[in-house]
Amino acid sequence: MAKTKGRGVLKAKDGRIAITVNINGREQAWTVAPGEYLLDVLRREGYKGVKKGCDNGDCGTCTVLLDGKPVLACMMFAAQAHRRALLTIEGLGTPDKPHPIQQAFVETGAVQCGFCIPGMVLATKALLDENPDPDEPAVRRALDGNLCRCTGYVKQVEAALLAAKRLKACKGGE
Amino acid sequence: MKNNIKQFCFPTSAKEAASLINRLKSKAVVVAGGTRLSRALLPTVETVVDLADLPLKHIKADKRSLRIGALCSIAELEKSPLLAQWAGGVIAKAASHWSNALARSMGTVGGNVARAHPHNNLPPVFLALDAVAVCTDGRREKTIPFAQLLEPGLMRELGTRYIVVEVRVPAETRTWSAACARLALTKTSWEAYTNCVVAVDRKDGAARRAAVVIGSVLPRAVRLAKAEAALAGKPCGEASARAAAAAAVAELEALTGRAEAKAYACRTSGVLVRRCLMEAFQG
Amino acid sequence: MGVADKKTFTVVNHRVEKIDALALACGTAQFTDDVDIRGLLTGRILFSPHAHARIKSIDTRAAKKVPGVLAVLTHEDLPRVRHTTAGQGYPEPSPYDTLVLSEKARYVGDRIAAVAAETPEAAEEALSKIVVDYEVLPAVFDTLAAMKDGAPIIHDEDDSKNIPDAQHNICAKFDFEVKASEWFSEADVVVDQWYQTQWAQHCALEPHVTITYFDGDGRLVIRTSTQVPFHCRRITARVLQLPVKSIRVIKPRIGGGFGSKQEVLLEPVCAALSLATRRPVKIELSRKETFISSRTRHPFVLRLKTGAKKDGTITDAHMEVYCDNGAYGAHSLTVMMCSGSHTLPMYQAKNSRFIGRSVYTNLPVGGAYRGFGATQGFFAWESQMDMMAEKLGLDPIEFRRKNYIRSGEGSPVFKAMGEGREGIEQKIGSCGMEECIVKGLEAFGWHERKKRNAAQTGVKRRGLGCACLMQGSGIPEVDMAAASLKMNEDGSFNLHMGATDLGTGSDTVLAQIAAEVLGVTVQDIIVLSSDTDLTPFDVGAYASSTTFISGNAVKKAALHVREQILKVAARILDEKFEDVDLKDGKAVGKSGRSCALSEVANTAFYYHDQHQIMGVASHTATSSPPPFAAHFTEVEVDTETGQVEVLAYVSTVDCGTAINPTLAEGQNDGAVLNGLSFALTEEMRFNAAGAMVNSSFRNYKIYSAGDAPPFRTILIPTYEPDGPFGAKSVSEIGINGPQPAIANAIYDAVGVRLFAPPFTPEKVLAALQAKTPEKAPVRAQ
Repeated sequence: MAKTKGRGVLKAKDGRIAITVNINGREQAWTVAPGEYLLDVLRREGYKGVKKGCDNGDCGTCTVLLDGKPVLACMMFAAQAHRRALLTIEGLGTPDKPHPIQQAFVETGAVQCGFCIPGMVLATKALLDENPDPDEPAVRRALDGNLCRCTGYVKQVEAALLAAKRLKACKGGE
Repeated sequence: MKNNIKQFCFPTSAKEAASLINRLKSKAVVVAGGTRLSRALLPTVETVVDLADLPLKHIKADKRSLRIGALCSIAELEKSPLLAQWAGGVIAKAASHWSNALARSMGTVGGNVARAHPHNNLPPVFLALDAVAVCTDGRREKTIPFAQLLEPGLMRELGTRYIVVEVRVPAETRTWSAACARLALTKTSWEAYTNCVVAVDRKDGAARRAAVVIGSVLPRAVRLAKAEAALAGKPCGEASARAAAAAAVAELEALTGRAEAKAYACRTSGVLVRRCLMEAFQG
Repeated sequence: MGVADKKTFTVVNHRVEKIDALALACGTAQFTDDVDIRGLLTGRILFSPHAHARIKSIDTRAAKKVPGVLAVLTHEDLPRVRHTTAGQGYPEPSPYDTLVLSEKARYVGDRIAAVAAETPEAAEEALSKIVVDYEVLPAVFDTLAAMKDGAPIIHDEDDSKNIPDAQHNICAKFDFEVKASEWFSEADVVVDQWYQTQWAQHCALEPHVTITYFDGDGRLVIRTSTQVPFHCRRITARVLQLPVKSIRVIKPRIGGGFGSKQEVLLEPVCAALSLATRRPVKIELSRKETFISSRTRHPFVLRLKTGAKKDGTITDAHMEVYCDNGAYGAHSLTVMMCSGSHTLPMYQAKNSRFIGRSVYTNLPVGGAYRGFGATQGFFAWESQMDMMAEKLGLDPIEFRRKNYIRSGEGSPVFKAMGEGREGIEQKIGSCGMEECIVKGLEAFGWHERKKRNAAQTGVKRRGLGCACLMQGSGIPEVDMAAASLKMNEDGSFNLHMGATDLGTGSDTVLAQIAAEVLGVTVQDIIVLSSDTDLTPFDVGAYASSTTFISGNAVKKAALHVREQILKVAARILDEKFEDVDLKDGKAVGKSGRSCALSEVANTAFYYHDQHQIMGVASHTATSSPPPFAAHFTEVEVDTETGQVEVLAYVSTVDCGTAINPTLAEGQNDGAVLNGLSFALTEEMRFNAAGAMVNSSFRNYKIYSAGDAPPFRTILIPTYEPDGPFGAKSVSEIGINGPQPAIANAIYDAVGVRLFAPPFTPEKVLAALQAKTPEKAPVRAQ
């Protein structure tokens, strides 16, 4: 009878809701205002790598991975992430241990102002997790929700393809 | 963004979700993919009913119909092998035309159908394929043909009295010849000038039954009866395609009151109708 | 000293990784809003809903009573100091017509009040409770109509300065003529055409954002997303009547600017709120607020009347431009002038005339935007070149080759027209235009494509178009940059410069220049830029000045430091000063003896003739060597829907020595794609009341990765003697090509010429249906 994974009901107490979120592999307990958006809570909790470009779901800058799926943090309420797993750019790699996708973006010159990059990199990760061997049109389609005004996307597409190649090689298969 | 939310509910069945919204009425709102709603809440809303946990992510076919769960994402439709070969892959193709990767990842079938914005991609293709929306109000299931669904009054009920459970497409449409095309300022534009879906049941080289649907031009997707009449019983070829296209333009112009702002959309709808029909006829 | 003039390099002209790329890719690099400040208040601005209205009164009492609201300001609370928000060198060549908070509403989006509150919700509520009694006035939205007698006078106040003709809404005026013969007397063909470019916006992904606070010593710190930290400090000080020394401006990482942040836009408002509350305040414009109340690309109405001889020589160039500045005059003179100063010299017409007017209308304010008037000017010019070629029966490429300016040549326009004032006489020191054309044609496959298209039939038609361009490299005798460099005991260096990296990579490029002089790698240069307390002056990032002018300042400072190192090293190595070289982090003597730079540093710190090895240098330029570019494109026009698809685009660019080829390519790539959507999809649209109707990325379309057509950048190296290691600028020029190249290609494809971009499917189809050249968008006077 018991619904094993039901998230039930989250009720505000004194204007706050308590949620648990797995973020970058760690369980965290947050107290949020019910109407708060995930983007604002993430940034408040220190995940400054998640950026705000339009706060309206139109630019992709705030992309994070929710259970592996790319979502717009500005369009989700923080409470909707209760008992879900989130990956932000900080969880993908750090300057002393960057993920191959981050490294590829650096090497091809795909990073100019860098504001769109966390979202772009995570969208690339979501793509390569699902399709490890994309062609260029598939890369462009997977990134078409992440706007960039600096690069013209040329070197970013190169970076995604380079990352795919390297990740495949890592896995030992061709 | 100020809102008055006080609680979140995560129902695990459509019945549960529907019961909730019927009980709470204007104090509740359902969120499926959440690509638009969260920024447009009414001040009366105190409860968000998040449908993310509903087990409605199926795409399967039985003897009677193709059944697409309301919580399937648009991206899942695009990638479905079953949909790739249903009616010439037109459902998968229509899904692929939708906006951008993030909107396709987050957006759901239910959301695209229930929040029937004129530019939503799925109502036109479901309309063309004689689909029905299966909904529940928590007590009873209701099956609503898309032709009826897209009427203003009924639309309001989706998401307020009814939760969409699945879309069912009649099994016989699997072998129909269909095509779709979308004309917009950019590939990732959320708005389109026009959005065309045609679906033809061919027999012996003639159209036994045809659907010509245009979305984006009017507040709701419409079947163009006069265009369809130009096809019915006629041999499938350039002549009937041109006739249908001309009829489509005339019909749309009448429906838009010949508004100057819609002149381009009406004219190019004719072009898309003809091209889609030619593509469908070749399929 | 050989190193200053070297032409082979170890660091410069190498694809060095951008020094902040890894931090950016990991999300650890800090942008303005990426810090947590205790007690930070939310600042919000109340914008006018009316295009033109007198403010009879503003009642802030109810707003002030909202719990959590600590300040509500209007023009009555601030010193009435007219200024320009344009981030330009002092004295700014823009009218002083702006108040921090306006006393009259001059456009929908004008700033009427500002609030600071403990929470965003309280700030929002306070805004809603401010009661403004407006007397709505007739508004004018048409550039040409605004200049006529009887049009509403937008600046009828008596304390604004430097407005040439407020009665006729003219906020800048410039006329220039050089005449060698009677006008058009030598021309065999004459083309007279009007053009109109559209409203557009920069769309940097990071909105404008500013944080102001008081540090422990009570000084006002402005942490802001700016391209012009020093202008920001000066203008904020003047406007709020504070001493310059009481302000510090810090520029963190910036998420793009493209000119929109060459504006002292939020800082004075935010600072005023901090002053009123003695608390830290953050103002971050929402995306919608950015669209309606930041800055735009000035729309232009242009008339070009040109004449040419049968042999293809351009004889006469009459250029009239009407630049819509919107409600305030930021950059009014400079953008208008650049449309001529960056175009006319290229064509070398013996009779050249420029008539420029910048006009006030009740619409959003024009600002600096990549290309800066040259973009609009080249749309007209490079379209006109094709029209003249056709009338003459000449190949459009050969026609251009015949006319463009060459190395060693000058133009009277250079002296007559600078940017906001007289320019300087200059001769072209480096010009790769010919090679740009040759290499571009080849890489693009122009002739093969032309052959293939010759016999085309069908509903979709292909056409080819090209555009040749120039820009500038900084403003000569106006822009100044300075840098300081000091040596550390491990052989690393701190490089401090005012030059502003807005994502362009100038930190890296300038570090490369220093590293080249010092014989080290970029990893040994610790860069700190754009802090008005810690770094020397720089005008900031605009006018494509950073590599060329700031680069030369850095080079000079590095040469001073090099000299000091060599002196110490010569003593250590017992070599003659002139026999020591710097290589791979070492000082190397002619004899082969060498020592590490760290030994040099330690010797200077501790052992002998103790001193800090350091150098400071400033630089202004006496020239503005243009980069050159040639763009080639093939489009396919769907004659039934009017859709234009760009099938291929090649952009060649001569930027002298590319200090960092990867970064230079990246800059050009971004500029070209921006130019492509500027040609085809971007347009700010307004309703009849002057309010923008498409103020979101959903409805103002810039290209995504899925929309971007295939295009590539090819760098064409030359060597500019005035530039650091031969470098010129690269960041702006690419945006000027697509609009004319695509207009030309559409004409080649379907025989229809469009004069009013963006070339949307509706416009193209309408022009095809008319089957005659598109009616000129404006009436000649």
